[in-house]
Amino acid sequence: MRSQRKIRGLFARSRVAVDPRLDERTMRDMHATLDISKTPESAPGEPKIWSITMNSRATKIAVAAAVLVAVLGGIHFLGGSPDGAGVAWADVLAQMDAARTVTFTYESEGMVEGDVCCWAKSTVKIKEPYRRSDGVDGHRYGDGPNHEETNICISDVSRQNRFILLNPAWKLAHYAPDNGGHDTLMSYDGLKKDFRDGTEESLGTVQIDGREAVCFKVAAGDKVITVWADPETALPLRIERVAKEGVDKVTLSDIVFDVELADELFDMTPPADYCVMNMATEEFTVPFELTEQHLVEELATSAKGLSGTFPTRFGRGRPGKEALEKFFAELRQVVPVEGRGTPMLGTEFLKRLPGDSDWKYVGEDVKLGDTTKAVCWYKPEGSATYRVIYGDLSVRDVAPEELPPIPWQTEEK
Amino acid sequence: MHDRRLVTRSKRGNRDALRRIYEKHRDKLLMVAIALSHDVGVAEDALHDVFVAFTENLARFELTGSLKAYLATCVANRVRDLMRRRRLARAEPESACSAGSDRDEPSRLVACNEELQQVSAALAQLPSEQREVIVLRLYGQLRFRAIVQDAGVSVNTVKGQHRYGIGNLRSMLNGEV
Repeated sequence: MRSQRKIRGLFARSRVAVDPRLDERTMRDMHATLDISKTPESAPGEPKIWSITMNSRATKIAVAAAVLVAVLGGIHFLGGSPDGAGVAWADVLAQMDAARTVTFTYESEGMVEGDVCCWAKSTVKIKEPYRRSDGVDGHRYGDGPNHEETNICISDVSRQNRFILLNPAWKLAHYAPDNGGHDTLMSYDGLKKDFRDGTEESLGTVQIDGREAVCFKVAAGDKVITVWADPETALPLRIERVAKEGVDKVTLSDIVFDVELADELFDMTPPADYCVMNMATEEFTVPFELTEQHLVEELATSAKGLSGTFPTRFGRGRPGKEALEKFFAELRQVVPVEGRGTPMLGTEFLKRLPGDSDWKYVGEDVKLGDTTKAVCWYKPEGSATYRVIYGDLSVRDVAPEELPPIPWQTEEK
Repeated sequence: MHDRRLVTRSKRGNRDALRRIYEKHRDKLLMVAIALSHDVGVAEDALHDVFVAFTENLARFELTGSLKAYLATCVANRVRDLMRRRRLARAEPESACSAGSDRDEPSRLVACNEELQQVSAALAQLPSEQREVIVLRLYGQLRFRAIVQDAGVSVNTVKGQHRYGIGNLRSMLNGEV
């Protein structure tokens, strides 16, 4: 510890003596930059002295020269050359860091054995400390079904990545007070982190989307990132990240910096008519009364997703490892149907039933439309009879002694 | 005057406020640059470039934290870039630069005291990640969290780099401190 204090002492006693010429040179260039950047705009209604003056040939030449000096000066400040090829990687990073806002189109694609297994497209808006992503044309994650609906994600990275996912089609919001590690939202931050890797290579000036750009390639782990930047502003125009030898690809295009973004775009308050799931507490807030009809609808959606057969389990069901494995296998076979993925209001209805409601699920292998076989039942609060839901989704009041047998209990006997 | 007020006045085109920002932070930033690069020439260029770029971006600059930390981070980035360019140009290893030998050149505009030379020479022997964390922490007085934002790694990684770096420095400087 003693030597550590001495090391700190060495740092504390470190001094520099600066020749005034360094101050003069730096201040001169700073003032020149300040003068260029604060050129005032002419106020509306002013006498058109500008146009009168510009009619003079001598003035035109002088102004042209001044503009040229300013342009060359501006490029110099970026460390570049008039053809833009001298824009350095550090300039790109510095310009990105200086930007207050950025918007871009995000596209991601994942491959498994040559086939696209997951994809997403969205427009992303960043205004520190917020990130917002608006889904475009649905999405697909993992080996699950395609999702036609689009989501809006908003994250606040200054508050433990506070995060909200809004689904306007279903009026559903998922809220996470401390978990915003959403891949789309964090893509820009992730790329910027990779940029610091220090393995960049300048590929010089190239053509992209019909315009000139300076190109850099950055290697970061198993990722290769290509950045095309504006040769005058050093701001990125397009960024591509290819990982795992081409298996994962992310593209950021239409990148625009310092656009005005209204604060309302990043409002994380869910709309009043949305169902809200708090992902930390698993508390589900529903802005209306849950009814048996919600349970019936969710049972129907589950059966439709399994080609017309009710699942092995629905919250409850046949106990045992074999039943559980069968249920998991069914989850992998689910096909996209209308209503699939909507708020699980039926499940929520069940969760809110009183403890003595005696909820039973016996729908395993029952076909949708079967009028004879029961799928589930429960006893409403204060009722002497049970509500039994059948395979045809009809609901009947049944006395306790007339309830159908529970298949696995019958088999055991 | 507080940095925030100086920035606000500079944004309005006030040259005096801009000069005061420069004078207030110049020495610390130079020490950051020298300690990182072990090259006075690189440090002079980095200081110049960072302040000119800062002025250029003033209109859209929003001070959200410490100005000193922000400028120190900019200097670190600029030094990294200048060093890389020089290495590419000279095809020489990083350790070829020397604050000790450069300080006596007549063209040089910055002189380091013995302590800074000593620290700079020792830091040059460290891996770049450890060197950067120590310099930003001890000269730039950045919090670990601010260094994390720039380095893009976890707080624990940065703390580890700092601990190892200090340990290495201790072994190198033990006979001299």
